[in-house]
Amino acid sequence: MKAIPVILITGYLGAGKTSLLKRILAFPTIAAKHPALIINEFGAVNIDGASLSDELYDIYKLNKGSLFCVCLQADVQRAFAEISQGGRAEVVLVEATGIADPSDLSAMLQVPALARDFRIQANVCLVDALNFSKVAPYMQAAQHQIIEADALALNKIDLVAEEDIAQIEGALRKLNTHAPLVHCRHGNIPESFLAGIEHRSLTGPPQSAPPFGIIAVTLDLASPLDRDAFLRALTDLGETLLRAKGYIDFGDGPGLVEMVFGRSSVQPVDSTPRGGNAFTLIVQGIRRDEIMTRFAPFLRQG
Amino acid sequence: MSLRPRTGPFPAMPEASETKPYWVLVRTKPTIKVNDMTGKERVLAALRCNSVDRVPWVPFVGCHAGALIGASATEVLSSADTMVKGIDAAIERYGPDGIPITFDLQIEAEALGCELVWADENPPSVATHPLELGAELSSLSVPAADAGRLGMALEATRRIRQCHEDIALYGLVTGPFTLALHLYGTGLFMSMFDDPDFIEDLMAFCADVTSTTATHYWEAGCDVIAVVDPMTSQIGPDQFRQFVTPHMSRVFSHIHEEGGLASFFVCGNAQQNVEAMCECGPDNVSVDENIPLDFVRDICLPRGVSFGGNLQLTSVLLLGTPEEAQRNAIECMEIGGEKGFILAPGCDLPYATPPANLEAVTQIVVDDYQREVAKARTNDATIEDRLDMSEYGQTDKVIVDIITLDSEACAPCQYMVESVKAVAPEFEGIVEWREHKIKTRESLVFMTSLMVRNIPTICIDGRIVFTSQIPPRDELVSAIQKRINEKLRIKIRSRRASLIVLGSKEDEATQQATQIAQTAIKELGADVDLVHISDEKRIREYGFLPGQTPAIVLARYQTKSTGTVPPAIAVREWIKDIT
Repeated sequence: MKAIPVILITGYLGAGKTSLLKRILAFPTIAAKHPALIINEFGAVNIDGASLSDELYDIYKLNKGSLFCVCLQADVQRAFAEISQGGRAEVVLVEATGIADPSDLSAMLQVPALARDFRIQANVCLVDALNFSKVAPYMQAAQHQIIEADALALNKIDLVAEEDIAQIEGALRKLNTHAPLVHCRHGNIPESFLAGIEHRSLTGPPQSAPPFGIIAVTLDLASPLDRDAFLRALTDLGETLLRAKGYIDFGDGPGLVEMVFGRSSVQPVDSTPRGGNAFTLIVQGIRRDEIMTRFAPFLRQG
Repeated sequence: MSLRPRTGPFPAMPEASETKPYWVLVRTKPTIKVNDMTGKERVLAALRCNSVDRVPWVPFVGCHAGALIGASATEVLSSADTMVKGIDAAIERYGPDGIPITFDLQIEAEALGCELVWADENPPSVATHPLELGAELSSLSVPAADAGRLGMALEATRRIRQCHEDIALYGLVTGPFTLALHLYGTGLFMSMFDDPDFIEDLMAFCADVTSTTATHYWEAGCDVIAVVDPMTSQIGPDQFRQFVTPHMSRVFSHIHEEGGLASFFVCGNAQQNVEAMCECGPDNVSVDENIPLDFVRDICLPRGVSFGGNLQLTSVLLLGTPEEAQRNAIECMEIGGEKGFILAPGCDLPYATPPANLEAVTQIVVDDYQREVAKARTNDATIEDRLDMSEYGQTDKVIVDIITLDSEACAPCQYMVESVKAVAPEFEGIVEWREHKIKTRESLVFMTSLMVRNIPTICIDGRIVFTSQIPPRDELVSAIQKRINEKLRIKIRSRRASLIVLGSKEDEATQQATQIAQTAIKELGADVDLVHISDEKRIREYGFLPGQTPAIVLARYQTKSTGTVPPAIAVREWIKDIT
């Protein structure tokens, strides 16, 4: 018996996995294979208000909510075992939870009972172009999903400034140098893109802090600050700075300072929030201690 | 009194009288160390990194309690009666040193307005997040002791406390970061950048909930408060120290002020945060299989923090065998060492975990001897060699195999060997005995090939006859005799004929006739005995005179009756058939 192909869909909650799943189910090459779906209970149960029909698909819902892959392991393995015994499905689509680490899911399929019957055809990561740089430093799984993907679909590009797309792609490329990348809206990827994906098997979990990992560094800034010097320090970070945000007093009252891919804005506010002059940088490819060194002249003393 | 195995010489076995046989009970009950430490004392000592008499064992029984009493996860997590009954069953079966009242990280969230989805074999899942749906944080208040299912859990605590004074009771409370996620949804991660002040407020509120719930469990009778915060494994150490540490430190301080001990439990890949977890001030850090136990040990112990874990939940405890569970437990215990370590599963036990696997872990935790046996058998899983035992025991002699750990180092094994040695002389020439010490690979292969599972064991001609208990002399003699008789019957039944060559051994013609007969039997593969009679008197009894040799007589055998006294008329008919 040939191994049943498995297509894994990952991505942060809100990235659009449900839409991508629906799109893939509509591909003729997939629809003809009586796909089985393993989905998060709170994911693709309802698409456009209508439930997926159990007559069209064999659906296995994982009822662990937002909890962990090691706890899900038995449920996932049971679902795969039932699919294999059912004998109907010729392809399996797995919509991972938003916090799933794909290496955990791959490892689950290595148990002898399943390794014989299933193979991963493609691990597709859907990236939310609008929010990924905000989420990635705070959620390890978000970066792991990108690192381990066989293909990346950069979604919601209609919501992102044109000039930012290249930078977002650059950030993704630093995390994953090999995966083909496609732009899309509402998860609409072409069927040919899916068909062309080659699975690359990774062994072991990814590093938690790869050289080009995206990190968030929060600075406790002095007040007032030299505006030009500070903004110059931010600009000098170049492409390593993805985003920044915080409240700063440049001597003319507090202001909300934001930077997105090199574009900065300063907006006066009535008062500094309780967090004081806390300023968070989201950077990639630069170490935390180097950031602290560069911004040492601007830090609050004592 | 310690019953740790020691090297010999061991006291001689008592003599059995003719009329009063005895049993030497070697392992009817586990050899439980009885150094006057209760399970509770053991757990509390380990939490404080003090000396213990043995490693404490704390199975995290949550919804699995339902499986023990035929109740669903929903039933056991929703009713104090069912919860108490399930935990009682778990205590009865697993003899733990400590146990959680329940393992349900949704109790506080539900009391705060999260809707849950229930399942038969899993804890419930949070389906809605009030703050995501528009509720204001200021509208939420810390749940009272009787809010939602918290009251039920506290009632169960009081009842279990009353009945089980000597076991450490764990009150599990949801950590503030996980609770924050329940209340706000995964938008939490984005807000850590967009609105850190709100996240601070949310975490402060959630820490209040965690602290207050901890107090409720403490006052209800819990000994240990385990703050379970799995979602912290999602964030890096910088974000942990920024958003979690200040609030978690406050929670642990609060627990200590109340007089309790605190465990910080995170499941998931939280290796990057173990150091930061210790900095929050817990007494204990507990992890799952995602984090190497030696890594946790090396971070925690130098900081005076005890640690626990990390039996593999699914691949071993749920899907593995009792032997695999024991191996995993031994690995953990050898890494964990004897101070500051608590053996536990990595997380909430799956509902359908086979009780036999957990009982097997208990066995090697409380019984040094069984642990030694399990350790000696550690390699048998990797042994692919199996002997072909299909023809074993077909020799003329009866083979008695004694599978032991080592009779020179282990009292039960020595007594087992001596029992066989004592009766062997009665069967001289018929019985051969040998000891197989499973500390050697060859003996392990042999044991595995015979499918022996317990040590010590006596096999007779490859069949397991006596397991663990040393048989009384009479029973052993009887068992060996039975096999001898069986073999004789088989021999008679299987012998179809005898070809008898009569003549002097020195006579060349007799020698040639014998050779021809041997060759013919061999070529045909016939089941025929070749018998040579050279005694002149016996030759004459066959009716042959000296000049008439070599002579060959073919005698055919046919079994006519076994096990009954045949009627005379039947015997007469048999005789008529051949005359």
